Amino acid sequence: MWIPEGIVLLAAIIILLTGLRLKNAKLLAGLARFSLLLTMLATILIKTYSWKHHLDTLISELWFMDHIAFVMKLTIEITAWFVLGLGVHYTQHEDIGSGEYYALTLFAVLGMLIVASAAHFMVLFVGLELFSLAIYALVASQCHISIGIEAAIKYFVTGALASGLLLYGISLIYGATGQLAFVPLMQDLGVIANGHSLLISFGVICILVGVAFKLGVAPFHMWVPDIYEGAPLSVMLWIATTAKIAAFAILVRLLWNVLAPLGSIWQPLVQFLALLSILVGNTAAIAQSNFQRMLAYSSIAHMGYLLLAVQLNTESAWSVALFYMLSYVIGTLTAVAVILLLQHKHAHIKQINDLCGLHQRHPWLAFILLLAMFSLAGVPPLLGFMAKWQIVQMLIEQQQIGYAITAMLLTIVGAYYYLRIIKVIYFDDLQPLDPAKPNIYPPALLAVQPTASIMAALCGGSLLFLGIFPAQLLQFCLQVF
Amino acid sequence: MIGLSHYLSVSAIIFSISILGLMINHRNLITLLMCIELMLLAVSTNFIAFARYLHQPAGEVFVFLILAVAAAESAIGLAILVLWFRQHHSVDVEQLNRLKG
Repeated sequence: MWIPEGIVLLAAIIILLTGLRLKNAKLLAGLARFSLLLTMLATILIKTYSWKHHLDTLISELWFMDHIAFVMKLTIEITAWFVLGLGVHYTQHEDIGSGEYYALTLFAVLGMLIVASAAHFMVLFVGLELFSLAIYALVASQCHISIGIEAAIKYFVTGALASGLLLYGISLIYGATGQLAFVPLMQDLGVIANGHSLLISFGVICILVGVAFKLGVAPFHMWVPDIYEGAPLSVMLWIATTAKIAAFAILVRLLWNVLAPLGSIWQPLVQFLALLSILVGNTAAIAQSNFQRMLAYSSIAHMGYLLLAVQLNTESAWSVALFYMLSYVIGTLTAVAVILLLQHKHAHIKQINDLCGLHQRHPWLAFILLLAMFSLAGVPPLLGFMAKWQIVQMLIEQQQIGYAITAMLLTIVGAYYYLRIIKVIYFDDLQPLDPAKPNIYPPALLAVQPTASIMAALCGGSLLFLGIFPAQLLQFCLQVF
Repeated sequence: MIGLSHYLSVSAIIFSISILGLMINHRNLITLLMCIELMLLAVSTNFIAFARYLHQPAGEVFVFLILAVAAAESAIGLAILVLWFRQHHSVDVEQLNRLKG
């Protein structure tokens, strides 16, 4: 039952030990990606085995083996595989210590897998800290760059604050009920849902604030843009995709598997967080000139839409939230993949204006970036549109028309900054980076990277394909909850 | 007689102090690390008080996990701090101002 986690742990330890002596980054990357492939295989095999033999979905009150755990694990593994593959060249060129980088990323993946299966507060806490601590260290992995260290300090302090609040909430809930395991705790909470004490409501609020910090939702979003900007690009991709899936897994476990009976306490709060982050994310992103900061605000807005589905607290709403999460992850992965491919040793792409005239030099990359931007903005034939449409439809079904209209209007505001990037790529002229060196244009390729290019094309293609044929994926998401 | 509510009040006070420290501290990065430790200790006090009150070992076991994680956390925090100190030769919070926008 613990084979996927075991493989990741073993690979992380092997890479940690051999990485000390072995300086061949390609070999280490290959090992890490191979171990992730094995993990995916093991996850699928275990799921089919336990499904065939009707094994219990709960192991000794500590470990879930249900559909949610399976989907979360598989998504985390696939995304991690893509992120590793896309970042190979960048990590080599940017002088990020290769042994540590791959060992730490695998430890982070291990923590995320543990979180996805947690059925007990202790397991959840250990998994959460395992992946958070690994990512703090990853953010600081370029130890000669000042903004990287600054981002690491900020991430560390807010992350620690978030886990402190989460733990405080857990301790209050534990004191009120005497339970730490999710299944008996949820039964107890169902009994006392109507006459709950002050202790429980305060505990729920603390837990919610802690998770909101981890998800990066307004008003707990101050750290997100700084960390996105300061972290090395490949690490930023980890924070923007896999860590967000893991935070969503924590949200599912806590709100759906534990606190669902107490919906009357947290639903209004989640509504508030959702609307505020859609507003803050979409409006603040307009003012950004840095690409990574813009993506950060875009992620805040997307988490807001996600919470808009979550606050309904029904099975189908959670499925739609999962669908939305997948669309966000694929969209962000595609956008950052293109930027990663374009990083040049002498010309870093940091500002949006650095992408001027990308279409003239790399029409295919420009097209993939266009797909990503359209999908994130929610333009019809793409996956992002289907996801937003599902959420709005769900809101209208539940008679929350006001929220649906607000979300739609703010989506139009948000479309502005996505479309601006497309304008820059397609309609602006190339500008040399430095007037003295007219030959070096910013959108230059780091090196020809066939694997990473295929991966980027795959992500972009899946945005289009899943946008036109979303039924299968949606059906799959609906069966999870 | 010291009861459960006294322990809870103490831990609530310590927890508030640590959060206040994180919010209003504008001097020293070491103080931030101390506040984080203080926060985890307040939570541990809560767990032990509840475990005694409910006559359960589970809460006490949780405290061991928290202690272990707190040690790992401060190790990473200090390591990042050392990197910062090597570049700037100070532990001033005010200097954390390059990322803005």
